[in-house]
Amino acid sequence: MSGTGRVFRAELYRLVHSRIAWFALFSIAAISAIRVFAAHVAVRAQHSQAISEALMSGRAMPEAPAPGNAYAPLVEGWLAGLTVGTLLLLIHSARSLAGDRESGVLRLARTRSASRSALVVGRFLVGPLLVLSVIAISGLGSWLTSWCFFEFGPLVEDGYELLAEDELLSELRTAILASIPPLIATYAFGLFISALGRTATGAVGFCLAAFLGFDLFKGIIGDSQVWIFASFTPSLIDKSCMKEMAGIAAGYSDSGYTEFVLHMNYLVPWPEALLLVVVTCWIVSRRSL
Amino acid sequence: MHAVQDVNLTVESGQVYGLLGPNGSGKTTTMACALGLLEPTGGEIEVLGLPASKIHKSRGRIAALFDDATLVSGLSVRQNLEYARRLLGHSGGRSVDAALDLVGISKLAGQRAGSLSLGQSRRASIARVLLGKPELVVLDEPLSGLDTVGVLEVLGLFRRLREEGVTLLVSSHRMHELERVVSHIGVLLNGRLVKESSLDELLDGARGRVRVLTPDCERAAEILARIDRLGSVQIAETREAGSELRVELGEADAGEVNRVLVEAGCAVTGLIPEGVSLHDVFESMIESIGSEAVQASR
Repeated sequence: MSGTGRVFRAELYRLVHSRIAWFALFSIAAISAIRVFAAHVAVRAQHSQAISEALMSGRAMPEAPAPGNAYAPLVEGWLAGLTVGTLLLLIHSARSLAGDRESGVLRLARTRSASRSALVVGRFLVGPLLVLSVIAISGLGSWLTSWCFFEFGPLVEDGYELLAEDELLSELRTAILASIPPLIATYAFGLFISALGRTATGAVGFCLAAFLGFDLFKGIIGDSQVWIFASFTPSLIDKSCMKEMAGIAAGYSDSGYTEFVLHMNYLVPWPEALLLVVVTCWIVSRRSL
Repeated sequence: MHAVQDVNLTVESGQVYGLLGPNGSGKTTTMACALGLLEPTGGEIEVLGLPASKIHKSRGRIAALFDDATLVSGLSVRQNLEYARRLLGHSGGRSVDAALDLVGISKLAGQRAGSLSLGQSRRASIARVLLGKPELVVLDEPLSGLDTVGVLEVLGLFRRLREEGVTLLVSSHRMHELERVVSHIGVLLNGRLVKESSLDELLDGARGRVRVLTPDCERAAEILARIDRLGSVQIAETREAGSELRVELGEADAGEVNRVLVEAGCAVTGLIPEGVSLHDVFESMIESIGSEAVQASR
């Protein structure tokens, strides 16, 4: 097995046996579930308000609301989990090299079996697995809660079917698949900052500041943002494909990516992720461990 | 400014090589360069036939522990070693259980690394580098943080490794302890290797000391101070029954000291030769090179 393979296996072992990693995954699922539950509470609160108004005015009591379509809260919940998951992915990757340099783990790996580039590539390869785990766990948390409180079915408004269930599922699939490349590039960005950082705390702090800073200012660069992977990543000021999907599931007619933007979402993050990994390898090859 | 310069150091297979020097003298830098963790600006480094930059190709024949190394805090001691074993890639040689057993922390295997004391963590770190079958073990300050029992156990471990034919390169400030295990010594001062020899040669060539018990201490010191072949003469203790002089023998011997004093009519009630320790040698070496230079290196 190559040095990259050994680093990958070791990192995977560390993640699987780390309580913090499991706690982070549980948190992502919980955030998704809470977001869906909040949607359920909002519907109930609206109904309570209607009952209160009916009692005050002496009108007939309103009927209990139907469970409602599950896709809108499902996607909102999933998106909330992904947003938190994105930040956790960034924290993990930004801590990775810098923290291991601090603790001497990089020295251990370097002297025993792994080249400098293997230290980076082996860690980067864990990224896609983490991205898939984050997507899966946030989806699971969201889906289970939606299943408890809402009903899955076609999107119907005022008796008209706006979107069939198949179409909703197809859009959802597209949005999920579109989330993968930018999240992987985001993970690579964290590693890049980690290679530059002197301490894990510094690397994590700078990484979050850079990512959230871009979030705040991405509107200013207008259409040019399609050339930057972070524009497609679920974030606090969200313009991701998943955010557009949330609009579609809620029945907003102006939601959804154009073909061009979706195309860029799929294509742009890959070369940028590759470039970040190559630059990270170069930095690690130049720095003392 | 260079951290180390003109260091020409050879560690032969099977040696236990102690690298000595005050703080900032370049011990860790030398070790890091030797292991390819730091790129030297010039010169050549070869370890087990491999250039330092390709050291990972030794596939576990080299293991290193640096002073600042810590365990992964979220994992247990066993999991930390399992993690390191996966980095090593093959299961040959010393297993996780055997390594834990060797450093005497089998009972702590299930404990979280974050909850260990400094000494326990140190031992676990040592166990981590002993996984597999390393032929060269590089240890930077391996005794720091260990209590007396821990130090004795680790020294015993070094002896065992030496018997197994493992080459050890060890840096430490604890010279009394290091003296018990090392076979060769290299002394770094201001980033330069100022002395390299076997421990026996170093101690044999060192100036011995003798304690002279005499009722007339000041006169005896005066007489001995006139002899060029002797080193420094110090009044160590003054008591009613008699005083004690501490004399560095230099090129003379204890018999000559006794003869000179007796011939001068100075009574000698006792003559106690003192062995030379590594610490003494190191101290006199630093004195001879000059305390100013050492201060600058700090």
